[in-house]
Amino acid sequence: MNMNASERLETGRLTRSIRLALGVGALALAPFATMASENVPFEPGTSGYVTPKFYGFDYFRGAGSAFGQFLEIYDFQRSMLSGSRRSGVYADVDFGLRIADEDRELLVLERLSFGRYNQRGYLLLNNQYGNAGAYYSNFRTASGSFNWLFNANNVEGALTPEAFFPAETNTNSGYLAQFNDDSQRRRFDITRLRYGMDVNLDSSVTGGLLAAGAAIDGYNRTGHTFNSYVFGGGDVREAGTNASTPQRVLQRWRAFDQDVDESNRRITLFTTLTPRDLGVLDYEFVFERFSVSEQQRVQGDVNLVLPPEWQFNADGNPFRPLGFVPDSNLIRHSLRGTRNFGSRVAVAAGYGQSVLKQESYTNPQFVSGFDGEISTSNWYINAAANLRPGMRLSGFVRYNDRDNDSTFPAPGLITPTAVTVRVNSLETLRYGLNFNYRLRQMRTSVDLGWERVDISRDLTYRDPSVNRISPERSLYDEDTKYDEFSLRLVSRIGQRTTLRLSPSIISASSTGSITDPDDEFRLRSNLSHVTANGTVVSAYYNYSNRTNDTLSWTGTDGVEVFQDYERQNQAAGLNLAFAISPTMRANAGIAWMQDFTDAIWFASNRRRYEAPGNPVVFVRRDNSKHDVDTYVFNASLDWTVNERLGAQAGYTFTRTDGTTASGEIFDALPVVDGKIDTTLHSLQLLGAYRLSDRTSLTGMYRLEYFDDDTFSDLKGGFHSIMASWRYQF
Amino acid sequence: MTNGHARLRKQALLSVAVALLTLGLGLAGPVAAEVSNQQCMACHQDQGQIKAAHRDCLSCHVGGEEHARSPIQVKPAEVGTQQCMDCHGSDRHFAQFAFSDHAQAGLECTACHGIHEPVFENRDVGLFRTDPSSAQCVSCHQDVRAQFHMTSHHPVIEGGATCVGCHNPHSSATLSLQSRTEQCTDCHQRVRGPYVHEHPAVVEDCSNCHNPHGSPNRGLLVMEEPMLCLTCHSFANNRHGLTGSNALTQEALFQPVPGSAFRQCTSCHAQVHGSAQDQFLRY
Repeated sequence: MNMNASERLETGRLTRSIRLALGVGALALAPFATMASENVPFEPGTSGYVTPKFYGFDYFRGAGSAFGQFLEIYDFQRSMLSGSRRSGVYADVDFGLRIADEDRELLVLERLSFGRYNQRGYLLLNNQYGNAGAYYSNFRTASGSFNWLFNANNVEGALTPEAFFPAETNTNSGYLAQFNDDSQRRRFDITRLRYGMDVNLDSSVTGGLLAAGAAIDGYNRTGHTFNSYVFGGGDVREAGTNASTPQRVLQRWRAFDQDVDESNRRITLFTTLTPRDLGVLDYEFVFERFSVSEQQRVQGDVNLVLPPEWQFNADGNPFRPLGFVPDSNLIRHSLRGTRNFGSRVAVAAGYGQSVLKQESYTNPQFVSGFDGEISTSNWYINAAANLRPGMRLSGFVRYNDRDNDSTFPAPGLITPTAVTVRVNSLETLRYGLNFNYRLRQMRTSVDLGWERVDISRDLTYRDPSVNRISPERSLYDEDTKYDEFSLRLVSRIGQRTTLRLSPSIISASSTGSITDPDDEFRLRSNLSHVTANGTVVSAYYNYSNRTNDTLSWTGTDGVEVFQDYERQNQAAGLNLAFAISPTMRANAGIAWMQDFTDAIWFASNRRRYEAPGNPVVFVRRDNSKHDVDTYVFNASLDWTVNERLGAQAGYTFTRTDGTTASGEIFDALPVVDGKIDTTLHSLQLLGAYRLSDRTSLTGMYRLEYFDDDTFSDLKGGFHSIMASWRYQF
Repeated sequence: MTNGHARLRKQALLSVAVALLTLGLGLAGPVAAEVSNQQCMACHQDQGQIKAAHRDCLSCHVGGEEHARSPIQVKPAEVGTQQCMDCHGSDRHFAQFAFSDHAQAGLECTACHGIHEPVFENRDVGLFRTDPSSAQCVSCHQDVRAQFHMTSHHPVIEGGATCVGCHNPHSSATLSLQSRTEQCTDCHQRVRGPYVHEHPAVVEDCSNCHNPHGSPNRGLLVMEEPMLCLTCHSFANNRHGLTGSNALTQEALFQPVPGSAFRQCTSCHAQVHGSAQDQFLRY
């Protein structure tokens, strides 16, 4: 609705030029070719391929064979023969099958593998009545190993013996002197297996009146993660005597190996009505079941790992959970409608509800009669009108409401004398208008926009007669209201150059959270140019600066102190796609990203909820700045050497440098936490050789190296070779 | 209650106002003319097709009849979104495309979807594991591609996640019936609760703390701990200071802070997304 036919034509040509220059080459060999229908021209008949693949890999350097590697987070390997995670070999196979008649693809089946624990596949079936499909994907990550390497026992300066010694009586922060890792594991990984299937009835079966379908989606997530916790001051006592000796403090801070074994099943039913000329009406119903099969630990389990002289305090509740994850059911349904009134006016609306119910409970929850439930209701109306050629007005209203319908109060768990704030409901209302005007002669499109955001929170701060966090000692408030004014400019500068510029400003009349904008300026810009020979140059610059200095704490001494928050993000990049020769194309890009945050670090003599019964005062300790720059360079080459041989190369360089804090906090932090100084190199070389019309060979070499100048244990590299033979029919 | 009614009235009035405004300003428009086609392939044998249903040229090429009569003088219009919507507009996935971010940005269906030939083919070996649709997304969204190379990121480049797993390219935020937190917990059910003790920052918006595309900090955090936490929370001396003193003297108020207390708040407050038991989110 934004452009007329001639502008569409020009935009389409330009877009296609960019696309072709960026991606579509003339290579007859296509080592990553898939059966995905939009990537392959339609042709009746049966075709397919089988590609056995053989891999060899080797992780070198790194934290040692017993530890995880940074590179395993995104590329987990294991030998098929020895089970080693450091070096080995394994085999896999890709295959695809497509059967099509004159009218449609009857069947498309494909499985693709990219590593020992990185595969995906899908099946599509079509006939004149509708279609059906299925998919799966499998991906393993070892991010838990990375977290374990950062645990307090592995990082110099991450323990503070002087918090306990020499006084040996500090029960408040003395636990920071000792971290008790009960995990008995050093390497953690988690696999997510996703799958699903769907059946869809085509509307042509009902004369175009109705379409319907059903889908089942799910995932299994299994493995181990590193989990830590802190006991309360009296939860561990000396065995036998149950005496409260100072040394018990050292047993409070602990970690364990958390099994992860969870599954999610989702059933979706939908029907779409398309009564003639009356628009489209779509109803969707979703039922989702999240189940947790892993061992749910309780605090009394600590007796299994505590040194003999200690035990869980018999006066405590041993059934209190450690990181409990509940089973839950989610029911969601929605109705959406769309109607066009001629070619000038269009209206879209939707309404949806959801209820999330907790289905399994901890022992204390069961005893207290706690019932967990969250409900939401949401709706929107969007409307747009073409006022006259080249002028369009659109508007929207969107509403979200989240209600915490869980039991409150629940004796023993959460009561009116508890200390924290409860979010009973969160209502968000957004509405806005956008005016679009096309200056045809200048080949420019201008959008002027306004949006109002109105967030309303129903909060329960606890009984004011007891010690608790009160509104004046919280950087959290009931209302957020702000307006955003935006401009979007899309202009064709000359025949082959397009400029996109989108500045916007936000100004708030009230903010309820520090991360809400009080003032914000955003800019997104992009300039792209396509030369006559197909070279594409594009550059972008994005900037955002958000500040909020409206929220404050007031101590019991009456002194009010304001947080002063500023967050700034910048990103700039230049990308180039060009033909070196008729058979060789190259892409290159360089990017810079800045993450900068400045906020005040406040300390208080006591915890905020110890007021009003005790004096609580706030002092400004320091400003601290998080300032990290990231640089990314990537280049790739695609070369058709001759009709039989093709080659590709790719290289990515990522450098991250900066500090996560400044001033007093930076000085107190261990080096590995205060400073980021990493470099990642990633190289891929690929060659594909066609042996015959039906067969080809592909070989690939990969080298990755991660360098961390602040935490040397994270340094490590990875080699991999892959050889495959492809037979297609 | 009174405020609630007033609020509802305000919302209803706003909705009606927007609808009436746009309805009132709009006028009944022309209906696209039906055309027929017989001769295209005689000249355009080289034009392939990706979908079987796309073999009737004139169902998409407006002006094809005139072009067939005067091939040199009259060119058929480039296929635009309107032509696609003539057939696909009743599909639930595309029915509200006119209000999508991509449509608002002036993009046509053909910017992403090929008719005669693939619009995009992944020939970047750096994206060899990437799902084809995601490789296509980042070919335009180069700034997001750069974020996917940051130290911590969703594994989109690696093929473990996809852009369309979170973003509907045919929709927009104004068409969403979910809050941002609900969108995240569509995959991350483990942290959706319900919790006895919620963390308000999580209730509000996951992106308060996480940048889903990529971050230089572990766990996709927008900022490293402790500053991420200390923007909203004060640092209680009597639990986190080196001496643990709650005194109001200058020495006590400005007591040294152990690096161990600073470095990972979530090492102790591990249930930062919410807890079934503990109001301090420790277990």
